[in-house]
Amino acid sequence: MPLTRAQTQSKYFQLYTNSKRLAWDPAAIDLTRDAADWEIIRRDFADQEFAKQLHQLCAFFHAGEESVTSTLAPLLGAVARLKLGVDIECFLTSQIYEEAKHFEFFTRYFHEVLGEETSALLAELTAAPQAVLIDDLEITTDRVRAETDPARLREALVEGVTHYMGVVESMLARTGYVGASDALAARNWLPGLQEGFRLIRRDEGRHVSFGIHFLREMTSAHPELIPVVQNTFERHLPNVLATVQAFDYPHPIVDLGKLTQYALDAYQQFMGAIGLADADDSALRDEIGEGSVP
Amino acid sequence: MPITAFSPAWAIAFRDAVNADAAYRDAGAGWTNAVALVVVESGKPGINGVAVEVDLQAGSCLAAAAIAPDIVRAPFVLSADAHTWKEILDGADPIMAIVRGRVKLTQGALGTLMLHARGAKALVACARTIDTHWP
Repeated sequence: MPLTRAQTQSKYFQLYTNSKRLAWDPAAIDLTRDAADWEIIRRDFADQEFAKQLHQLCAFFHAGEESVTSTLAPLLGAVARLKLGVDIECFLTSQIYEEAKHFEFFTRYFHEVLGEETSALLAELTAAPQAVLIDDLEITTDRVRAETDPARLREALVEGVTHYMGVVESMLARTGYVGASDALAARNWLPGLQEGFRLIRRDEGRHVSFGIHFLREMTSAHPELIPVVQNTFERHLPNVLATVQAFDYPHPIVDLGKLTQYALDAYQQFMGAIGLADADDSALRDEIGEGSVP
Repeated sequence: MPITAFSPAWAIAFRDAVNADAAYRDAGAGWTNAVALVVVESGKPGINGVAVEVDLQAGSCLAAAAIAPDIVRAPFVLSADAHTWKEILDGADPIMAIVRGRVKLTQGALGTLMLHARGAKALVACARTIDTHWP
């Protein structure tokens, strides 16, 4: 299918273009100071369990990035089968590449800074993050992969994009990266991890922007799909909130109230940006802008 | 004079506090549902087994009444023991109380409620203005 001139002017193609311009290499991030910082955090802040909390955060990010790397292809395939546009396919192709880089970054971080293999990390996930980040996303995208009826495929794709870009990336990933970045920046710890967070957040801004534009277009053209978006959030909200509560420590490195509020704001802003809620989405748009501007 | 929490007089005071509050008028403008706040039986002395149902429409409260929990008809029902409700009226974050499961949404969609978290906080702020007595 050809890429039309109009498609090269679309929002999706603009996001794809920005992805090329803003490409980065996880292997190029300097992690030399992080290893020294990590030893200090482990030794001097043992009572506060800061190392445990940071390890848990990184384990969640690693698991999440691994999951989204392997579950995006079915959504791309559905876009192609529904002939929704090569411009959308171009963007999703760039996103798969970016998710793989995020996964690579956390794998490298565990190997080179935390000094461990990643094979045992999944055991750190409690039931809620295991469900919302991995199991349920896999079930949804497997259904997208298997569906042959066009109307049901469109519905499954909207559910998949809502879960992937709305629930996982907008609510969980943005919340986690913002909370962790703020905590590390305030203490001037782990500069390599901070840099990785900054670059991943910039990518996530584009991914969330894609989700917003795609869902706004789909629900506008097919209003019968609006409940699919609403029900998907409704189904996963308890697990999102329970995932945030997994960081409820006596000496939290990230303020739990702020983290929870950020997740809820992200939900409201996302729904507002799609046009399904009367919410102020300016903060989300600012962040998306950061991810989209060359 | 303090009014006993979740009593008929307290429900009326709650309604008046909501209707007098500019912050709720703004924050609750998008909310058009009745909400019931239920004090569940805790087996402890004090307030037990009562509900206050408030009909909230676009930033104002059309009606409020203290009723038995089994006749609640509101599409959104929030339930907790008296101790938890007192903590919230004393200043605890109502959204965190829901997130942590201390207040349970026993009827209604969590997604819809969380889209109106600002309104929920403003509503609780109205209740905090009532001089409340907890037996």
